[in-house]
Amino acid sequence: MRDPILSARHLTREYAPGQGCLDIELDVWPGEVLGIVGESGSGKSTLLRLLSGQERPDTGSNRFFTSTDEWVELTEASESHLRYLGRTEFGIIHQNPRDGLRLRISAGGNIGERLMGVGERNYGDIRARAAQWMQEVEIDPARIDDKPLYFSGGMQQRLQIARNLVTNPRLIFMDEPTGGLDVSVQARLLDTLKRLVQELGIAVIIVTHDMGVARLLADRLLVMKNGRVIESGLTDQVLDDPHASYTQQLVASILQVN
Amino acid sequence: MRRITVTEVSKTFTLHNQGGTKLPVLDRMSFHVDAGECVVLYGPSGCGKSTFLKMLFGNYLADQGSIEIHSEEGVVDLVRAHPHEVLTLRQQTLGFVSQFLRVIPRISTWDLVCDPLKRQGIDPTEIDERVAHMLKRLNLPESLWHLAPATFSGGEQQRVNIARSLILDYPIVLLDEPTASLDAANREVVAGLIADAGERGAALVGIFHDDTLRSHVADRLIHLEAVA
Ligand SMILES: Nc1ncnc2c1ncn2[C@@H]1O[C@H](COP(=O)(O)OP(=O)(O)OP(=O)(O)O)[C@@H](O)[C@H]1O
Ligand SMILES: Nc1ncnc2c1ncn2[C@@H]1O[C@H](COP(=O)(O)OP(=O)(O)OP(=O)(O)O)[C@@H](O)[C@H]1O
Ligand SMILES: [Mg+2]
Ligand SMILES: [Mg+2]
Repeated sequence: MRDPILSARHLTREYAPGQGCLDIELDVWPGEVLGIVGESGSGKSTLLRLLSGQERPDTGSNRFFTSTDEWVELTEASESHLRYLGRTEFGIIHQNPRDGLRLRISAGGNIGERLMGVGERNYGDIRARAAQWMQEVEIDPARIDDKPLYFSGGMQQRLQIARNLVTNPRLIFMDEPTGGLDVSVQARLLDTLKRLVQELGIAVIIVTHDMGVARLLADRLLVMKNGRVIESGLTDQVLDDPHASYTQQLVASILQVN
Repeated sequence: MRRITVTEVSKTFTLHNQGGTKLPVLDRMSFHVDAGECVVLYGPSGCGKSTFLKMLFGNYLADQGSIEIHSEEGVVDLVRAHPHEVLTLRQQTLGFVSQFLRVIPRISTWDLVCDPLKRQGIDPTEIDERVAHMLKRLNLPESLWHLAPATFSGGEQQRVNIARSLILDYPIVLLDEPTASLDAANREVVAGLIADAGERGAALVGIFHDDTLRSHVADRLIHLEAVA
């Protein structure tokens, strides 16, 4: 088996007793989708921020294997190094596209900005790649000069995905990427995501409260409660043969809805 | 050649949300399957046939014992395997035909059936030929090939499911009531597919309600009894 690209041990950030993330151990392999589920306040978003270096833990380690074949201890990396990794190796897709986009610059500019961040300078190339990525996420490239402020929620989310993928990151963090969208828009977005993840072989860590989304996208699943991982395994195994009391509740609650 | 070795496998479900009720289903079960053999599980409803088959696929987790899957890459014990090892086995070694198709919305029949072949990196023209051949053999009208199976009849969905699960020549094929929603003609087709798989050396483990089909395909029967 290949080596993981992200490896966290004893990762802890405790805001108040039992709140935050406690003693997290996880590995992420290239090309896999790792889903994180759990009730509100269980620490999913906190974990994502710790893993992506957006926030520093109290204790523990979190190592990332770069495309230049080096391990970087993210918990000790400098702010500028973290920003560099954020531009080149990571993609971060926020639940609210307003947090991940610049709404007052054009759609093409939003994508091009990431390319310029990694040193692209040729205006024609940048524009062509932006148009190509709009097509990839099914936004009409004719909208390239429009500001995303006037896009629908689903389009904004697609643009956020394009903006993140254009620089070929190897690891994507997503916090509820389909929350707040209506069901049919969600469905199309998920199809796009699934296709891109498979085509590009990128690793994804996705937080979701929707077990249907987890089943569709994730290879493996972690279940969190009170800041800890209480159950983990293959997605279908965790959902079809849940062992922990909380996971059984979670699965039972979706069966009722269906 | 040995394909599956099951040793002293037990399984008890604990229903935490129903007062922690314990439901023992399998108790120290052992058996093995060789290449080219078809083993059929039978026993009363609720005795644990599907549970057992799901454990052979890594979908349910055994509490104790070992389930060794023998493949070209060596032996993997499903009870202790890392999820990635299970995923690799599912891509290359283990085929599973479930009783119902878990409908993936919006994905066409054609794409569903292509998918296992694409993952193996098989040449696109060969993929097209094999998929068309399989869908024709299962009598799925061409008008359905490019539609998503969500609106299909039970029997049509089941045939898509079978096509998808048998399109690759898996060394091990697990079948949970594959013909339950099929008419007699299509049941024949499935019996033929099962016979073909046996002839090319696949190890088969199946559950079949239909007595005729069961005695037709089974080399060996394994009787499960209710534990509780
Ligand atoms: N910066 C912070 N300062 C203090 N407490 C925080 C901070 N961030 C999160 N928390 C607390 O830590 C706990 C975990 O929060 P987190 O946002 O990670 O939960 P979550 O699992 O993402 O929940 P949700 O599903 O509602 O988004 C919560 O009790 C929250 O109030
Ligand atoms: N995920 C699960 N959680 C809890 N109990 C389960 C689960 N899956 C199966 N069971 C229980 O295990 C027992 C065996 O079920 P199983 O589906 O294996 O029976 P079966 O022999 O296949 O029956 P049938 O012939 O009716 O399909 C049943 O009592 C069932 O309720
Ligand atoms: Mg959150
Ligand atoms: Mg059954």
